Amino acid sequence: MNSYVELNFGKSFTGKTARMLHELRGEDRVILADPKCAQLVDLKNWDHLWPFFDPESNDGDGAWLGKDFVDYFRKRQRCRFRAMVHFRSHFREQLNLLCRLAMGTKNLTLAIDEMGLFIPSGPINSLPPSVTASAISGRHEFIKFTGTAQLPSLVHFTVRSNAEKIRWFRLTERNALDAARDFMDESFISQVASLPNYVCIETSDSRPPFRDESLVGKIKILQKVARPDRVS
Amino acid sequence: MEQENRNGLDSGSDPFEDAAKSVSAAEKPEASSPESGEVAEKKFVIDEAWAVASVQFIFSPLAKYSHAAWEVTAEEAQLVSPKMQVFLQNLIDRYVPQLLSRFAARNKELSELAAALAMLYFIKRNQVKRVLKVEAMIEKAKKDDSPILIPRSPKDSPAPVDVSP
Repeated sequence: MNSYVELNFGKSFTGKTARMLHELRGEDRVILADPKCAQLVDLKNWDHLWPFFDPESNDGDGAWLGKDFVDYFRKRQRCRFRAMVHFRSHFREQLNLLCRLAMGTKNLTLAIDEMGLFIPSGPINSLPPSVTASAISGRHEFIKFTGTAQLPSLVHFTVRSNAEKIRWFRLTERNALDAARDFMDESFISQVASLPNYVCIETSDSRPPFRDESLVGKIKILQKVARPDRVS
Repeated sequence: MEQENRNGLDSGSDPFEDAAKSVSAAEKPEASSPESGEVAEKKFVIDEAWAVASVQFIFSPLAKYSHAAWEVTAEEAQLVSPKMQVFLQNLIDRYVPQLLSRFAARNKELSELAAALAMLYFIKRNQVKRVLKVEAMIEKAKKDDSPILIPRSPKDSPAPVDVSP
């Protein structure tokens, strides 16, 4: 990852999560937030963490019970780690805590699968404060931010508008294509609706948009998990 | 103001510890014990006797199914018990809570059901205990041919009730 905020949009099973994991391979310190607790649960070479969230603690702000989860990061303030944090409920509140912890840990990449569950669209004050802080000023703490979502409209515009790089996988919904029009010209828009899996249109602040097919067949992550679905 | 901020930075406050403090909370005492956390910790201390019994338990199948000579005496078990004590303490302090919290996080519905069933079990057990106690008293009173006095719970009237015919 060479941008501080990178987003991946695309329909289900188009390869956006696999691409995000592929982009994370070079990062030394990574926290990945997983709200689905499905295909990523068995991913190898990651430390899988299951924090226990209590919404009543901290005067109703919520907190993770026990010390194990925080101790994991306390012991890794100056070393490499790849932590996959699995959440089952209270996604917005738990991401807020995770961002606060990330701002304290510093120098890491925060990846979020299915951002629509964590930071759905809404008014400007609907984004939790620590998420806002890490998304808009995380680079001061050397925090990179990346995530996936099925539709651009599912993601809060503060995060979306701060993205330096966006990968557009296959999208067919009209509003999603309208959102993509702000970043690319019509020749690419016509392709977005029919992109094959693992192929994306990449738009960024630093260069013109282009169709990226370079990783077709090369991303092995999650393929083993996806195989039964293909058979069916 | 700027000077104050600088002082705050220079005072050695750790941003990670500040963040960690605000995102985590201690386990609720009532989850493990109605008393304070210190008492709860004392409750789970593995003592020498537990360690000796654990060592003896490990050899008990051999003593039962192979030969009685496999039976480990307390003196023999004490050769191993210090290491067993450390291991068991570690098991209770670290591995069991980690396993339980992981299980509870992965199987929220099942863990909540188990907690609810456990609660119901303890309520029913108290009721059954009281019924058995009353039945035993009735049996005893029938044998002795004395009036039957049924105790009431402390919330009710302290005086026992005579239900004899």
